[in-house]
Amino acid sequence: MFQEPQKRRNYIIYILFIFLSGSIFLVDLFSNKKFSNLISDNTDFLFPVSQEAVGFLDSLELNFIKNKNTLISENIRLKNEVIELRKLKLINERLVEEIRSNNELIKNVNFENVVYYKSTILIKNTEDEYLISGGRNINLNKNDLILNEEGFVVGYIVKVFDDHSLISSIINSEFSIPGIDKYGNQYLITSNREELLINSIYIEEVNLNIDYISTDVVFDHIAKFPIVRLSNEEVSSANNKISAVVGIDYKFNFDSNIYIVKEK
Amino acid sequence: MKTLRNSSYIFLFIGVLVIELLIGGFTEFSDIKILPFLIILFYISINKFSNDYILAFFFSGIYYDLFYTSNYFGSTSAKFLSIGIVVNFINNKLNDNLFSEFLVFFLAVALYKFEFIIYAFSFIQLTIVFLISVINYFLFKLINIILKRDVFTQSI
Repeated sequence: MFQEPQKRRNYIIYILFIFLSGSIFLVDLFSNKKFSNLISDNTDFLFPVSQEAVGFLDSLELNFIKNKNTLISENIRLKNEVIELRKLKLINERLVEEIRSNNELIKNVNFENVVYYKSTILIKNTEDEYLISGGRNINLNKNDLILNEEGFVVGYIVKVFDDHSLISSIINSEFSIPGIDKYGNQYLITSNREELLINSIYIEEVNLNIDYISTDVVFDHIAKFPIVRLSNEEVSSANNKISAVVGIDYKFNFDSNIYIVKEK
Repeated sequence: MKTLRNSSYIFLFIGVLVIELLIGGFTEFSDIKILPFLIILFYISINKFSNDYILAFFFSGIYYDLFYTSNYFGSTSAKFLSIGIVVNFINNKLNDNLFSEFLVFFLAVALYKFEFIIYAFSFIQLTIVFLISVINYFLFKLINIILKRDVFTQSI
């Protein structure tokens, strides 16, 4: 008997809270996010999972498999030794790969006034944006560039917290970054999550022999870093506009070596 | 007592939300995800819809907007509350059978992942949403069965 009016009352209160959320949303929208930034900037919030914990949890899987093998097989010692050797081999390979990628990075972007912070991916939120380690504790700022191990730009920082930051990466549909080629033509690079869409915004010289599109100081970027390689891609030109579509091969995971670029 | 209970709901919901984010990370960033927060949101909207959970939905949304996204403040709270009210309303209008319930769950997942659908609408994205719905609906049913079992009245 009392169920229907009670339900209506519940709906009304829910709707009132939706309006309250909407009002907060509007305040934040019209204050250009100053409201939310004010709160998050003044809150000492440390991320519930640290970089070390991510590494530890990642290695738990290996330990679990190893324990399972211990129970199944009687040759535990030999198997463990083999596993240990394999792990060492993997660590060695990873280190060799890291040295190689670091060398590659140095070769691609050799700038003396730039410092690289190695970062780790912590989690992916429900909007498919990544949270990475490092925030106000290492003086990161909005729009700081994120590079992969080859020195290519794979994202930029959109929000900075105490010890972690939110990035917009090349797999986000909101990703948008201006770039320049060797002829001085300017482009806007956007993403549809699977491909990078490159469209010219200013043409200095129509030439389709574009090797790289890179960041530049004209766009308030710290230095020149490659965003996309077009040497093996199909580039089209029509009505004094240059465009291209490049598939995204790069995959983010816990082992991704990503670097945040900062001025010294 | 009521304040204590509401506060515990807030902490519980925030905890589940953090677990959901961590699970998303440990599944190697696959598109098919386990969504414990959505499951609890759906469970409450269907079985225990009341004003007691409003603050929990509201503050978990605020917490998420504050520390995990670049969303405008309040947008996630509005999303959680809207899902709660829409799920409860539609579920009351439909017949009480498995297909209807799954349909409502699919709608809840679609609302929960609406950015995902709007920004890159394609058949593949819809398939992913459908697969997420199937997996999470199965988990929801499992939790439902566990919670419905009254262990205290069972004879030993």
